[in-house]
Amino acid sequence: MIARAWRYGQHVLVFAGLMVTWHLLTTSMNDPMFPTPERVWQSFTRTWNDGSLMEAFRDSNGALLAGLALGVPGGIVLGMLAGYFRIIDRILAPYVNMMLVVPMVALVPILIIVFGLGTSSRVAVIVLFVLPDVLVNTRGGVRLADRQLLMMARSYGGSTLSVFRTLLLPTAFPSVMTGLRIGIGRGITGMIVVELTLVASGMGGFIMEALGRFRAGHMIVMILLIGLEAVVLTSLCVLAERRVLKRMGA
Amino acid sequence: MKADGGATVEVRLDGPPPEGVTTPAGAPPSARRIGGGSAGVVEILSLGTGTLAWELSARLWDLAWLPPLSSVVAAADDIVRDGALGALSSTAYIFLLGMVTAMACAVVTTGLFTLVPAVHRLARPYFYMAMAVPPLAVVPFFMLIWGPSLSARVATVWLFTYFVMAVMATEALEHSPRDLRDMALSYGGSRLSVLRTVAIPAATPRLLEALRIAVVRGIKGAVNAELIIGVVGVGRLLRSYSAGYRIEELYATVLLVLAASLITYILIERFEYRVTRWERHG
Amino acid sequence: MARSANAAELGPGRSIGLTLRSVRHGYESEGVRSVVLDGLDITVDPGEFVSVVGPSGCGKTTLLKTLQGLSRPWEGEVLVGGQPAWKVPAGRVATVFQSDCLLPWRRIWRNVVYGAEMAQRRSHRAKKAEVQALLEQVGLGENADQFPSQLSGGMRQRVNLARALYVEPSVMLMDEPFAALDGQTQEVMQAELLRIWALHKRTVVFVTHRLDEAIYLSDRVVILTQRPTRVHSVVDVPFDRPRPLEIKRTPAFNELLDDVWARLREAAGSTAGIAR
Repeated sequence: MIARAWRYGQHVLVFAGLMVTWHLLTTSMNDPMFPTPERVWQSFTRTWNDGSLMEAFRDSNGALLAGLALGVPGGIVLGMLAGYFRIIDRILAPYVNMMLVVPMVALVPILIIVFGLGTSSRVAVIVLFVLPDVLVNTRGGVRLADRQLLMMARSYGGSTLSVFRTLLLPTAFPSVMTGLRIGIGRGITGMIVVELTLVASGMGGFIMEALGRFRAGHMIVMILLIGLEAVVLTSLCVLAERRVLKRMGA
Repeated sequence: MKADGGATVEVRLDGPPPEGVTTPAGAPPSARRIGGGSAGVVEILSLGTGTLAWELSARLWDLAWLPPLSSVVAAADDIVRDGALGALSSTAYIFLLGMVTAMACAVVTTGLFTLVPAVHRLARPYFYMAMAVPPLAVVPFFMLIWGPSLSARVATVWLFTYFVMAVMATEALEHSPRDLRDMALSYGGSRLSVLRTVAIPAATPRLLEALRIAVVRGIKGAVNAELIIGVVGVGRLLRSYSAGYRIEELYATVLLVLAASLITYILIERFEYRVTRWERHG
Repeated sequence: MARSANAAELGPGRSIGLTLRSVRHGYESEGVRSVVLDGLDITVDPGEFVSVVGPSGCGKTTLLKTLQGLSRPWEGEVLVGGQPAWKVPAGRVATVFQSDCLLPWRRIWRNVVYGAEMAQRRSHRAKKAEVQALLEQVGLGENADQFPSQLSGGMRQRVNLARALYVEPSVMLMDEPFAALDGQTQEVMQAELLRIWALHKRTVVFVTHRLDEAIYLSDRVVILTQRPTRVHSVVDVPFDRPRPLEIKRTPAFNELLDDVWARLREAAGSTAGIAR
């Protein structure tokens, strides 16, 4: 018991220590580009109160939702097809491999030319970022299902749908969730990449504006917010996965 | 998406399985092989069909945003003459600088974490938090501190690659096989020689995998850095061509980046393949 | 535990004897001491092949650890060639485990020299030629350049054996080395072990669950009791060497087997965990 409390206590100590160090360092540096914790907190309260923080958040995340709504199902469907049908896998392979290895960010200027400077280009970028990882993980999950088991189920007269539901889905589920988790992370990156480079709106735009006005505190607040969103969303994925697995009796 | 032996456990793009954390995304799953692996007829046909479809549809429908492949290739020739390769080499330069510094830091960190597990335990949450933040978001901050300089760009590449390398390398060394260690000790080996002859060789496959993933992220980091900080390099080219609506040149630049990334990746993968030959025999 | 580099009597290759005298040992977990060995007395003469059998959990592994010198007993003495076990220089006592523990990234011949490398008695620039002869002895002359993943279980265990032999130990400890192999390979390996052992006649302490293996291989069989463990009895194996595998089908062998089986039942207090 005490041992456990001490373990947590150590973490608390480290955190406190880091905070104190941050404060001391930045206070002694007295450089507006390295804000003190208090400064950052001030920035936070100010942008929260005047709504600019949340407005940027809503703006970007609207695009994120749209992008996920397209990218995730698309990735899952394609991934399942690729996992089940070797031929589809092989047809898609060159393109997906390239999308995984090559920095997708290089395509952003092209997408902007195609979709213009509005929200649709941001959504398109997010889809591009999300889809490959979801696809690859879904495919991996489907391929985990033992071919022989599938044949066995079919031989007992199981319809494609019931085989899908009772065998493929449970086996593939953890991988699909991993893909979703990674995809969301990539989606968040995609969400801000356009805003940071070419179309200054939303959270990325917020950061760029803070850059232009040399407001380090504002920048840090937004960076932390983005990080927080990433952690929260992926944690939710993990929790959701655990609950569903429990329901399935894993 | 070549055959991964069928029996691989779920396709994990992340090295360690940190729960609830954005994993270092954008890396191919460890068991896969592309490029150097089997490029079968179907794959080549698919690629070929895609290229053909591009060319035909571009000519047929005369879309403003889709130049025919042939004119893109012609433009590629132009941009190379204009110094695109120089831009590429400046990108490569920050890539290398960033990766080397990140690797050095990762080696130190890993050594520290392995020798003093308490530090690892305490630092772990912060590492995972650091990995959760898209490095992209931090780039403007680097610009704030250092201006649009080399340091800012190198720091970006560093940020993209350091955490992944440190975390995966520590993981790799922590999982050194106990039975082999015990055997070495039973013959009278010192802790150092056991580290040298057992822990490190055993960790090598995973270390190389970490390197491969880091390289992919490093390339992303370099291109991202230049896109945002946009003073020199391919990123700047991308920006200027897109601003000037010079579409063929833009596509050509993208193809250049694509080619360079693919080549780098294939090289690293081949290297990894050769060094881990002992895993695949029998 | 410091290992002294002295001990002229323990020169490479010379077989030596072992003595355990009133050894008491066990382990500690969360402040509670559990006794495993309780007054163990065993003597092994130089060049003898002795098997140790006993019910599950009777502390055979603990016993081996004390002989290796990796663990000092709470009470009593463990002497290897007259010296306390923990003082014996590295490589005098070689252990062959059930798991072959080969380094998968090294070729076979490099695995064989690994033990000596760790014991620091040969430079790790040992030549392949030096190893070749030993590999031929264990029947792996063709495999020097291969990797462990290319060999079968039995072959890998032979490499394990070769590695132990390479350090020219005075004592070999073997902890159920054939248990992970299939039945036929086990028998083949037993015969092979005797053949190889006959070449150098080192002192061997062989731990096993299988009574037929114990009897077939050794000069004497030591039967241990249930925990807290001491020696129940020691049985002489009167058969001449060399011993062909067929000896296992003879009436004399099976009578001895019954005898040891009965003793073991007594020692265990039940039949759990004993394999004939």
